[in-house]
Amino acid sequence: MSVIYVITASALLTLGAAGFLRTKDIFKRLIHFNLFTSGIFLLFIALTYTGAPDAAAVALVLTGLVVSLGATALGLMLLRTLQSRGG
Amino acid sequence: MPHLLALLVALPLVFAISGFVFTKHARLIGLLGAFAWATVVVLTFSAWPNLPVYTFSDEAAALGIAYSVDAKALLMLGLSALIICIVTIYSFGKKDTNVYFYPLLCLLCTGLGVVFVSDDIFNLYVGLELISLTAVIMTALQGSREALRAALSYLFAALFGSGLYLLGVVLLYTNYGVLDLTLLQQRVTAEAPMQLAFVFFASGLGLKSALFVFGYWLPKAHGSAAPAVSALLSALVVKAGFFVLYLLYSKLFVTMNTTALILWLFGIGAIIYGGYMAFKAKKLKHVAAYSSLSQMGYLFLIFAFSSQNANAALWLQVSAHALAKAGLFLALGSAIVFTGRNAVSSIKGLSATLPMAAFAIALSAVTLIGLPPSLGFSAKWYYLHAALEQNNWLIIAAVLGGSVLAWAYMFKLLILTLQTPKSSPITKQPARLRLMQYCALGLSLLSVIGGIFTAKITAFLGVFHG
Repeated sequence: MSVIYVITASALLTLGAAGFLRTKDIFKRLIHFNLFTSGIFLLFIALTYTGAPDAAAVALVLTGLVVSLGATALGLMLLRTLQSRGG
Repeated sequence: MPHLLALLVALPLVFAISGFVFTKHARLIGLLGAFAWATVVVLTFSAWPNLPVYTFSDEAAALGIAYSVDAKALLMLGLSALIICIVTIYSFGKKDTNVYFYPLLCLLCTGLGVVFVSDDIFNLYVGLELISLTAVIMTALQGSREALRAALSYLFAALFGSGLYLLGVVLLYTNYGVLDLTLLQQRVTAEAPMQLAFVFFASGLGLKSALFVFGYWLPKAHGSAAPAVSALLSALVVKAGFFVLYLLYSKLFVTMNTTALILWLFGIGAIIYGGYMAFKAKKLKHVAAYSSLSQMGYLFLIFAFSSQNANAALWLQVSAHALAKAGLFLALGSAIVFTGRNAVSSIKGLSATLPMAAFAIALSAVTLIGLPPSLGFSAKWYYLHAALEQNNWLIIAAVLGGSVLAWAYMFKLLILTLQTPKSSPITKQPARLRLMQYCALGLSLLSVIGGIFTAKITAFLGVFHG
């Protein structure tokens, strides 16, 4: 467990969560959501790192990345459709 | 059938994918998918309780994902299969149902299957994500600007909720090195990190299951979604979030009293606030949506108890609300199709124009208020019993207050349906509209006569009344 990674992850996580809760802009919220989840994933890997990365943790983070990618894509599509309808 | 539990997840997924590929036949594929899934649920039911735990690999449980069912999961699966089948038939009656609704329905079956049978906290996360994203897309299907805004608001609530859930998973895994619920149960202790993990799980799943203030997105999403979607959202999707929260609580966090206290106080808040807002609502679907907020509040009262009575109350309330609310949404949906309006005043004289829909609303009212012999009555009876055992007067007041509020908002609707209609009743309704009303009536009727089988249900769940 390397302290620098844990600190970076916590910072990302907090920044993402704070931004997500503060802003109303849909696009900015999507970016903040990505910061937030990236923070969680980095924290997961950093906390389970013992000389070599924990295989199970890596697999879980990979799954999580795919889920968050899908969710971001869905959010962007919804936003685009909303804008094309003038809203 | 050794692969029954895997089929619960895999079979609807196959139907969902083929529905997306062959959009021309999506309706037929969706119908087949829903009924195929229901068949697997029935088979699971008949094979239970001799069904072994299903594992996907021979690896140690720390890595291999385990699937298993218990009575609660079976109850949820049964309710889901029944409601999904009826909603599918209902949407056949509605002319303008989007074709993508049907494959999404199958995807919802997959998600529900994963959530109800998984024994693995990360797999539960994947299932919850699948359900949330499907529900978001279903909300957006209407395509109006209002619907898209509501879908985005729902998406953000669901995403933030799953982020918090994931933080809880990280805390559990880094402390205990396993994700399997059974293994975790043997290892957890009431340490500080666990307190924090439960706070993460509770707030994340509270967002997904629309607990009190966390449910700010629910009325918006319901107000603009199609009635069939609202029925699924209220009856099943929000309950999946609650199911996971209760599963984690009962297996891992029973000793965490402070967070549990906040949860049931929020539940009381939801009962009163939801009931009041339902009474004040101007749109038909908002009445039903705020009523969901109120009825979901009852579920969270379970965190105040550990008695068998409360356990019986919880699962009876889950069944009562799922059936009655799905029936109510479908009935209101057919009224909205008929009048083309969503205002509360538009159902004036419904008992003359659409008598079956009006009857379905009345039957749902019986359950939501908690009048005998409905399932809602049994649920509230057991809640009162459990509260009296512990002399918890706050909960007694909330249960009774919630009933009074339900009385107020449901009778407001019922009185309107009994007034003289503005237009003269049409003599012959189109067959589609009749089909839609039969679906609504079936669900509402089940929520009332289900109460007669209270003893059978509690015996099946293995709880004994005292």
